Amino acid sequence: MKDLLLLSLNAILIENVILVKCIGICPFLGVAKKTSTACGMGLAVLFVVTFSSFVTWLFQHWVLAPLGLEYLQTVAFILIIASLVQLTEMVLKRFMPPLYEALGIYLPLITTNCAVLYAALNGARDMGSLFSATVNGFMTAAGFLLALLLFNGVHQRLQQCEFPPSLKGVPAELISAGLLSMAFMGFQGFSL
Amino acid sequence: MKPLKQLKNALLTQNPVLNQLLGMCSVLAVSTTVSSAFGMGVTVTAVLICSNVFISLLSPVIPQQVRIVSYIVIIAGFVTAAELLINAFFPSLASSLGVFIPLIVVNCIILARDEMFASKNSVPASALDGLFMGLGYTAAIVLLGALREVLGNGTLAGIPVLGSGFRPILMLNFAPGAFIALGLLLALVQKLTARLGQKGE
Amino acid sequence: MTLKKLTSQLRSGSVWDIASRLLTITFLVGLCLAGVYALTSPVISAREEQARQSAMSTFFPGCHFTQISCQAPEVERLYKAEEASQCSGYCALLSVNGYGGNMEVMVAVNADGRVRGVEVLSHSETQNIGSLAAQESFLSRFKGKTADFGLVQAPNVPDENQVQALSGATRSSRAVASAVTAALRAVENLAVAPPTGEEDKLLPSETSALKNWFGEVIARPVDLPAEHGAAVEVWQLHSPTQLVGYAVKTQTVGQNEAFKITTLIGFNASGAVISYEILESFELESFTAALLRDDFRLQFVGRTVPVTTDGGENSVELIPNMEKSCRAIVKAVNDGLQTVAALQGGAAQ
Repeated sequence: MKDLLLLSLNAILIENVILVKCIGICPFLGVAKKTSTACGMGLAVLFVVTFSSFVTWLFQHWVLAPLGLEYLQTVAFILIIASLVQLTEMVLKRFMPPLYEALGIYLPLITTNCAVLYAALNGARDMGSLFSATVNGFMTAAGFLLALLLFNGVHQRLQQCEFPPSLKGVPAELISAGLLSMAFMGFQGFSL
Repeated sequence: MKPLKQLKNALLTQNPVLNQLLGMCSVLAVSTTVSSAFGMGVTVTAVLICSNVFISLLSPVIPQQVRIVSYIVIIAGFVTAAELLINAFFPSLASSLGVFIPLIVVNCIILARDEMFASKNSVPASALDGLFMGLGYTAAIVLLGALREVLGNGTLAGIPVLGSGFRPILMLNFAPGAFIALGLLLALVQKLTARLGQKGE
Repeated sequence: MTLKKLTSQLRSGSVWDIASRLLTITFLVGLCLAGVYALTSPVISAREEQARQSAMSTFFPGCHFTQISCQAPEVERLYKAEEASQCSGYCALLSVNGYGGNMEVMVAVNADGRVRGVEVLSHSETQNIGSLAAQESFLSRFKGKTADFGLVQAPNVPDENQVQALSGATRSSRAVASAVTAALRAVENLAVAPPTGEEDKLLPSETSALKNWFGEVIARPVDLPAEHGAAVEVWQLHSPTQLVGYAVKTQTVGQNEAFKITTLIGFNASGAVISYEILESFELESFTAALLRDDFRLQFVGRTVPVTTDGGENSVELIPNMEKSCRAIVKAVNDGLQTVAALQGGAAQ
């Protein structure tokens, strides 16, 4: 139990995918503008990452390792992720059309989201059991969602500010993300 | 378009990182030192050229409906080959780049160039485009790397350049420094682009 | 996509077409990767062996290492470090299960049975948590401990014979501790067994090699004659009725000064070479395989006089780019011939 708690804490705060490891930035800057898209994207990523961590760990330990084909890990994982995203798209379109419409272009982009592949690789390489790999994936995506929501809050404030022309847009967003990241550095001192 | 003009575009006006804002994950994460930034840049350029060439070659036979997945599979193949070769022949690069080598698969730049250029153009043109875009990426990541290493560590490629009296800005070695440094760099680029635009009028 | 549309596409065959093309591309990619893997994996494994050797040389500088058999299950390999025929200690290579998977641990033990040092060669522990168990600050806690040390949880202060585990990384700490304990026990068991008995016992690989060359024989260890060169052990081989031949075990230097090649050479009753087998080699796998191939090995079969490499009458051809390794075999065979000749000269004919 304690192991799991530490694992979760590590995945959400100490090694937050976006704010500490700088993985998954591309959608981060684009999606965090509206709260609804931030939420929706975060939840979609949560689903995809948890599911793919589960499937990829199984694939690694039941197929790739016994056959000695570990070098095919990247190819196999990305295919699994692409299929899962496709599946998620079809499920959302069928059962939750408004969310599907809201996410629009961002849904297929989850395939190229570094965070998904990172969580899958992390789970397969570093986690000893299927359960811990899945929990790690879920918590990593939870960290992703947390960062999205925090940044969305910051962004709403940014909208109200006057910026010098050269800093307007992405530079200002990056600098505020940097300040958020600085706040998260406080968690590094956790002596576990 | 003449190759030289293409190169200038890729480096200055249509730089994949600084102007098109693609592939930032790896730029932020790997640019702590110039040597790892350079290593990453070279690897991405190599994968970009190879995948551009192959996708340009194979585009007639790649089915339209699954073309993105096919591109990703081919890119993944080249990335894995690069990972194996780096693990075997450049172990120090392997340990400094770590998990970011397989993450090159999802580097937006490669997919964007394949989708927009390589699938519609001839093999030599695609190869050249890959080379130039790769050079643009390398230039951007090495620039950020140099900034972070010099100001955050006092060294450039391991060689101390600012003397012992310099107190390095340690934050630049970590994620916050990466975000802020890139933000400031992009602000500079925006300013220069605006100024060039003004001159043009 | 509704079920109806899917089935109509299936019927028209286009889904199969797409799927099969995608599958072909994936298959071709996989094939090319298999090729690259075949090219790079020997390089990677050679480098891993290098890492092990350099770890051992760091713990025992200036010593040379010989592998000794070890029955303990977790101990993959056990090496004895010797300097000028004095035993300086032992290095054990172990494989244990940490939190995130396999850990390869090397434990260096002094001749008195205490820990000299520990190094973690590879692990998959969680960054910043379990990975701290692979760092010097934790591993140095094991220095000087004996086989019955215990692991205590923080914040308990450890006494003389205890090691404090990393708080929050209990599983990883326990894994390293179990590796150290297994290594210390293995060394302890060596000391318990009488040295002469241990050395005279034939390893299974040796027995099978002798069986291939001579059939069923009884191997009787004999004392090394005065002129024995690099030979370390010699046996007289008997059938129930007569002397059938000799077996000589030698240790000669190949590519790396500190790591010798152990060779077993079989001679017939008149002292001619029957064949040889490499028992332990630290050379690259491809080198060792080349040294065992018939085109090199058969040159030595039937020799009764020492072999040279000068192109003369008694010369053998060395394999290009592996001269040092070949010379190790040449010296092994020659010293074997010398040993057997000395035995035959000494024995009453």
